[in-house]
Amino acid sequence: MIKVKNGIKKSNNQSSNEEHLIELHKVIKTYETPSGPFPALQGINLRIQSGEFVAIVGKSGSGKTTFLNILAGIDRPTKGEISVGSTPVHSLSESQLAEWRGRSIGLVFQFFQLLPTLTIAENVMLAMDFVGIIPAPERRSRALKLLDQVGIKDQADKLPASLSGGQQQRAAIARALANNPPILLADEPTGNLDEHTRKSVLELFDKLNAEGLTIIVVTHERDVNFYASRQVTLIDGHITNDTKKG
Amino acid sequence: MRTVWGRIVMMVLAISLSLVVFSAMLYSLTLVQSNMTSGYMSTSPASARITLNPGVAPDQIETIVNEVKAETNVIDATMRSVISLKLQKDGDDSSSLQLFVAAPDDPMKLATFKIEQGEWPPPEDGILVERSALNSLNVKAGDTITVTSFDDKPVKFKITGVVHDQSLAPAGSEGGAGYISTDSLPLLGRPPLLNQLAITVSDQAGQTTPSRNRDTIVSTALEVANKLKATGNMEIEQVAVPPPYEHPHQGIANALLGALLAFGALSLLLSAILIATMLDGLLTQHISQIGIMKAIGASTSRILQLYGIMVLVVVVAATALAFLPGLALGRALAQLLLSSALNIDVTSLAVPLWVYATTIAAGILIPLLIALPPLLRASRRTVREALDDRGVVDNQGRAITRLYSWLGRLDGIDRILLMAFRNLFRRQARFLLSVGLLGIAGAIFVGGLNLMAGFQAIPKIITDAQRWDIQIRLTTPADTNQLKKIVENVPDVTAVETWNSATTGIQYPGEINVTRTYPDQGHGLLGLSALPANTTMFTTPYITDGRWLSASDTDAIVLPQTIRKTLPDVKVGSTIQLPIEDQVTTWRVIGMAEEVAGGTCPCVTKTGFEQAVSRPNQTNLLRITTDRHDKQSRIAIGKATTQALQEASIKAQNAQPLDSLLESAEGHSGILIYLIMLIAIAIGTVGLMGLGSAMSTNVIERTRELGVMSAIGARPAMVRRLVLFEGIFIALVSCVAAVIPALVLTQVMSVGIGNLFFSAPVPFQISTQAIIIWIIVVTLGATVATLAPAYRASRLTVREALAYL
Repeated sequence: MIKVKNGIKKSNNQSSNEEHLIELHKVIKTYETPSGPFPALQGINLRIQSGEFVAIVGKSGSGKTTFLNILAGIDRPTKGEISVGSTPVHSLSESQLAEWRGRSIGLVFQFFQLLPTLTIAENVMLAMDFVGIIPAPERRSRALKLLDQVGIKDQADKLPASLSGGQQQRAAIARALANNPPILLADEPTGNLDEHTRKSVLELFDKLNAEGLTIIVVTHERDVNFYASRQVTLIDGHITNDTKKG
Repeated sequence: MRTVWGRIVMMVLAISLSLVVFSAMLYSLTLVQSNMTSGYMSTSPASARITLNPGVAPDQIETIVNEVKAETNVIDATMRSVISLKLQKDGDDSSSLQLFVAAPDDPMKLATFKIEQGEWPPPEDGILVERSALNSLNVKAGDTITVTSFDDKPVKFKITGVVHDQSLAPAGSEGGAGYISTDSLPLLGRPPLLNQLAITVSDQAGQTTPSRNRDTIVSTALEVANKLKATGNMEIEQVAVPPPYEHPHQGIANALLGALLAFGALSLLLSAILIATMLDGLLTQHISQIGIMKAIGASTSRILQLYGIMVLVVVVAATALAFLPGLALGRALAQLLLSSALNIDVTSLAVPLWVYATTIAAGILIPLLIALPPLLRASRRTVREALDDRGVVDNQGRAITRLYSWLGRLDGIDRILLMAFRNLFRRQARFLLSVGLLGIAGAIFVGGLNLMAGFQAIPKIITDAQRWDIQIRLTTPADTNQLKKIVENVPDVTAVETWNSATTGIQYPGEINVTRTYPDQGHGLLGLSALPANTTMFTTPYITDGRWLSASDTDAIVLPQTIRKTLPDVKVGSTIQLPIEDQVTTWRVIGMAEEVAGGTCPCVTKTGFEQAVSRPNQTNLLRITTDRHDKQSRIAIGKATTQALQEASIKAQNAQPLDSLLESAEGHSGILIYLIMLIAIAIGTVGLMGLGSAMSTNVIERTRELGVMSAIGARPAMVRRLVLFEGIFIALVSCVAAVIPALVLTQVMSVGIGNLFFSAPVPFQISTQAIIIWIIVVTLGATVATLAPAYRASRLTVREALAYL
């Protein structure tokens, strides 16, 4: 079954070879530094199918965060092309990128990055406000539903500072899902959590992936591999290994 | 320092701007004081003037002067006279000319002037005109002017020269001063007599420097007066001893410039606080750098030294930058005040060294001292605290948390707007400073315009209190009933009231009348009004103490409350003596009245006045109402009335339309309001710079948040809107915060400045226009000031923002 969502085809059939949700073609990213150009990504070619749960792994400095940033339209490639669904991400302006990101990508950060003056529900609603595809009268109820989905509905009207790290990360995941994006990108989402909370967050990812969400997680935590359906290893800006689970 | 040039430049500009205002006020205050004193003293003003009756003939002057000069402590003496005449011009005789008279052979060493054209003495039909009167009378040397003589004949005088008398205030719009010799008096219908003995007094015998001690001068003048009185040849009418070494307007100028200097100092203080805030923002930006420096071995004192040097460079640069503009502005302001408001020639623009030193010290030390707390706070932070600092306080107080939660439940309000509002409370000290700076500027601006509105309301207050159209003084009193009959028959006259008035000065029983009057007769004299019973042409003034007159009062007097300034001992219940028309009259003080301008009091009943001067049914002042109330009609009806009186052989002085009273009240506010506006603009600019800086710091602190917003879909325009809204909210809150200070400032300025100019408070007025203008200005200003940080915020790439620590 294929659902069309936010202009991007979303499939529950992970085995279909025809449905490349994300495609990176010869992506190069070079940073200009005082000591000269630094190649963060060196000719990355990668295709990710809809419904995959991909773990991007590698040591510090391997280029995995740069990879995620380029995928999310947070950073631009020096060369190469990135397509997400039918959208050529590399050619969008900042404004178009912001709008595209809001509709198509859910982002989860290591340090949660909830806005401290907004309540948890408002943090979720703010993402809907920016994009505007959810009608205004439905936003709060949708926010509460998402918070219920991640298990923190009772914290909806509290400020982020009064929540634990795990609760804040769940709120951040609810926010990432606010506009029902087909892709969720997470940068070290469990890096700042304790063992128990880390496990519960990964189980939540697993559950969301099972519901059809494409998830790409940048991590150096080994336990993500247990849940991921595919593992891409980066070393010095090159993909050195790309393994799919049976 | 290299990475923060924008902020450094803002700091330098903020301090410079305030220092320019402060130093300009300080320079102008000292320049005005020094030039005023030197200008005034260059005229060798008389320490005292003793008015004699009868006057002294020119051939007796030398004898009297020599006798007086022989007295202990008398340095010099001469005889003079002051007379006032109507000036006829283009068929109008509403201007007056004050003439100072001296003997032709007067050496002009005492109470003198600078001759700019012509020579002393002028010929019999010649006159020297005081320089500032040339403009007000629209005449020049060589012109001929016509005055009305004491026997009501037109007398022509040729302007044979121009003099500058720095002891006089500048000529007003309806008059001026001139100088003639006693030879000219017969032309004017007066014998060539001089009735004022002018003396200079020293502290000790043999000294040639005039005394600065008024008590010494009064005591010497009274000794001289008593000796003259003891000869039995003359009466002493008055001893006038103005404050020594003080120009007639010295007090006003000092108070005015002192007040402006205080505002300048306030502006400097606020700038210094702004610097502290900017520095705080800078240190916020550098906090992780400070942590790293400390982690690798930098001590607290080393950090303090590093940033302290930066602040020192800023304040020294700002002080250097402000030096010349401040000096130039101060000099320009001093020249403007001295020449246009005080009739003083600028002789020196040299500023004393201590003034330079004060300016430099204020520019450097005040900001340094105020910048010290954030410097100390930042330098004393531990490595852990510094490295952990994430810029934004997430744990707010309970009240703020509740407010945020409550706002979170509001439906239908733009969330960007709500976020901007909530952001106000995140850095409360910075928020309060921005609000404080803009609030103070707003209070000064609105207060200044309220004061102007108060000045503008005076004419209406006068019109409400003085319910007449024309006032005519008679040269000699006339029969009340006859006057009424004549005036009531003049076309367009609707009613006439018969009053009495007299120029007098308070004296205590049994003593010679000692006043503080200057030679121009403008200060220290009282204009007594005798009101007819049931007058409808005057509204009872506000009585601050005691009570108003009743019809049965015959020995009661109500004094203006300003009398307390010169005669603090006089109060309700006191008995005073007033010399009126050569008679000493005694009165019981029953009340003190507060009047704005064109005051009528001291007031007595007409019955009481007639009894006191033993002149029943006689009147010397007419108040008239007419059926038309424009200035031209009033002048025309006034002329017709004086004509009718003249035809009945009743001599009248000027017919004064109410408009002239209104005009004199309106002319005072100009320079003062502009100066207040200048200071408000300076503080407002500093305030907006502060706001811009605070918003820059806010943006820097919230870089990651802004990045997150962009990452979850906020377009650049939304980020810009968030920052702009926050700036505008601060501006609006500052308007609310300015309300009470503006009211207090308006009250303080209305009382203080009103007392300076009118000896009564300027009416308290609220200018809606000023409030609206300020709200628009500060909102637009805040928008402009916030545009740059808002633009910067929207230009941040998400990667840069998320990478920000």
